[in-house]
Amino acid sequence: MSARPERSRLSDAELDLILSRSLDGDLSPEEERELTQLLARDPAAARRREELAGVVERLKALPAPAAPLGLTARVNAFTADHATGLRAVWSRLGIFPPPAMVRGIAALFVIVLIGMNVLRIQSEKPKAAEEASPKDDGRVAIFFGEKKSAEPAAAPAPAPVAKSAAPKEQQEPARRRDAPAATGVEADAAPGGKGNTPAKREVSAEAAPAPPSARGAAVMEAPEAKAQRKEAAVAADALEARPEAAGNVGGVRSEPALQKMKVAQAPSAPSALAWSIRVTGSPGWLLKKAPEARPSAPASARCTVTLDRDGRVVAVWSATSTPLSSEVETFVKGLLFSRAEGSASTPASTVDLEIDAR
Amino acid sequence: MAARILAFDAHRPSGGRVRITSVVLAHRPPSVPDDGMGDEQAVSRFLAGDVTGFEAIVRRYSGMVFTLAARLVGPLDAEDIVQETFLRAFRGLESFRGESSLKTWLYAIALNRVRVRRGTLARLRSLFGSARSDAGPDFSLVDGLADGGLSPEENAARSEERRRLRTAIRALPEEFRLAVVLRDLEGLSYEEVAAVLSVPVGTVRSRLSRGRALLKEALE
Repeated sequence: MSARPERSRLSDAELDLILSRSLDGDLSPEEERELTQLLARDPAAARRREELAGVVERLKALPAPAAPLGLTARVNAFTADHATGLRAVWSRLGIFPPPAMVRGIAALFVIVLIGMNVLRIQSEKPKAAEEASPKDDGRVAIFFGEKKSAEPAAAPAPAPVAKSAAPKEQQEPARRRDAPAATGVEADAAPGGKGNTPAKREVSAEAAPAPPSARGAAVMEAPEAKAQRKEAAVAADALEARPEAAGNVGGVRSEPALQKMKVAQAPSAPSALAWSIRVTGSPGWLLKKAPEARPSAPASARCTVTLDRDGRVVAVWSATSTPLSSEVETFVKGLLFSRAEGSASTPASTVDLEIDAR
Repeated sequence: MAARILAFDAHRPSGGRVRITSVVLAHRPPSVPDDGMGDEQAVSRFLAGDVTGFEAIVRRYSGMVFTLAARLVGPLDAEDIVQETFLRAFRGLESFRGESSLKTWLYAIALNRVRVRRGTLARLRSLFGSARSDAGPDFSLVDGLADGGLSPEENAARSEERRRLRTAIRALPEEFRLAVVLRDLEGLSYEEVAAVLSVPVGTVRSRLSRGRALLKEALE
């Protein structure tokens, strides 16, 4: 743009530019002289110059905010502080966190880290327990063991004389001898009991030679009772051969494959029956205790029971069209359940049972 | 220190002792502290590992940078701008080639920090949906300074006039505002303004002319 002022050819913007430069002393002497002549000829241009000069004068008179005391020292300290170390990284990113914020963030980070570790450990505990135990398909096999006849399967054949003369009194001591064994099963059912004790005791009792009285009682048994006893002995051997079964606390087991444990019927029963109870409906309950008095007749039933908070049976009804016999119903009502560890706490629950006594 | 106490507010509580509640510092035209060390010498010392070279630079220019920052973002945020500016200078002084003066180089850094700060604030405002508009820097302490030679009415009128002028400056488009501030308020030459803004001198002339004309219209 030419700085030669010819008002007739100058727009307002061009005139403003020349006037602005004039106010700053940016015009050459020749341009200044021509502008002076223009202003002398054009009062509007002269007035515009005065107005612009007034604005510049007011701008220059505007007071400036003063630097605060100690600014230099603070700037030097800030620079020394942020030029090196971790803060240098932050400041390079344009972040200037105050020291308290850095410490707070660090503390928060540590707390979150610790919390995450604690949560991870807590969540891994049940997972590890789940991995340690066999895979559970949701069903729970519960059995109860009961001391069977004291006569081992390998006992020598009784003498023919004893066969005919087996008095009732000779059977009574055997029954009394067996009673502690049955009680032992119940005691083992209590949490914290020695797990492998009942199984071992049971097997060792079988291996040991039976006392004469027991032998005498065994002589009285029918051939099918012998076969059932033999079957019970096989089951006991199987129990001993499986350490995880032997380690089962309280005689209550939870295994992936539904397992039956057949235990010889107590000699107090007229006939030796192998009992098995399967709990299928509620894995949250485990069978804790069974009544000593059991039905004498073979039975096979499926029923559903309702439990109260303490695991006692409050109601029982058949799951099939066949009604339960009064003996079985009484027996089922005498069952006692305990809450499985880690199961959801429910005020009451129903449990499906499959009872088999042969 | 390029400042002096012009006034202070005091009141006498019931206890009887005068209590100073605020002090107003007025700025004298920024002067370069004479420590016997030129810019080149200070830079050379710093590059040789002598921290006193950088301290001399801070001592010489921190007041000027503060004034510029305070005019643009207000006195409250100006110190942060100054600190960030000199931190950047500390890191970038090795790349300072001396093509412009140290003063314009520092001013350019400060303007950049001001832009970054405004951008950050604008983003935060949009992010959190702040309904509060940017009220701009508060110069009430500086502009409300009473002149003992004037009547209260005249002081009030002058204060109001300054407030209007600052409002008009703030309303200018940024390119014009920066030219006006650097030239008319900071007293930089056309060449220095061009160096700070990284534009040709002709552009500075036109921006300055346009900015002044807009200000005149705004104040009419």
